[in-house]
Amino acid sequence: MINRVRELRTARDWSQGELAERLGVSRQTVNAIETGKYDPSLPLAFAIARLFAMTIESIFDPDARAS
Amino acid sequence: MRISHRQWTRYLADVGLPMLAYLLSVLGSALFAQRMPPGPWRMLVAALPVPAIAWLAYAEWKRLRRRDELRQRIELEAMTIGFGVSFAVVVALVFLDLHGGVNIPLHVAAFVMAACWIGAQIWVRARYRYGWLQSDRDEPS
Repeated sequence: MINRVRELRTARDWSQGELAERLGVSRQTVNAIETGKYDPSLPLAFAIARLFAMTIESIFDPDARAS
Repeated sequence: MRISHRQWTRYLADVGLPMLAYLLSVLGSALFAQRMPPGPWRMLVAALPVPAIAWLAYAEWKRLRRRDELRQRIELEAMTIGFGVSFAVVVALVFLDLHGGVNIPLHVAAFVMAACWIGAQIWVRARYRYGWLQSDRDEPS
């Protein structure tokens, strides 16, 4: 699954640590999500969508695979 | 990265007492059991660390439930891999002991399990690029 988390984060000029703090997770979790190594749980995906004021499906694409 | 004072304090608050109980019971068991005559009391003293191990496992489990979701995934994967590999190795050692004419002491199993778990931790953490030592910001409060 690929996602737009890095793109959305950098557009707001946030560091991975800042985003992690806003989401209540570790910086490594944000990094693993951005690099496609880890797919977040449903509650975390909702938290990400809420934070960026977008829908989950506009951030996460389940049909595409991370390279 | 380094472990902060806050993280040490939190770790000690979570597992400090059961860890101390475990160390003391292992020490007590090792010191006294071998000096006692064979019998039920010696067996009881030899088994002293068992409740402390159960307490420590419970404390670690409670601690893990409060952790970051990726960290929980890493621990679960590492435990699964570590258990699977160590089980295979221990079964192989048991068969060698039974049929291979090699005398393998029972306590080797504990070292095999620990080594497999540590190896699995290293491998899984490397896969998720999750460091060993966390800074303040790397674990949510």
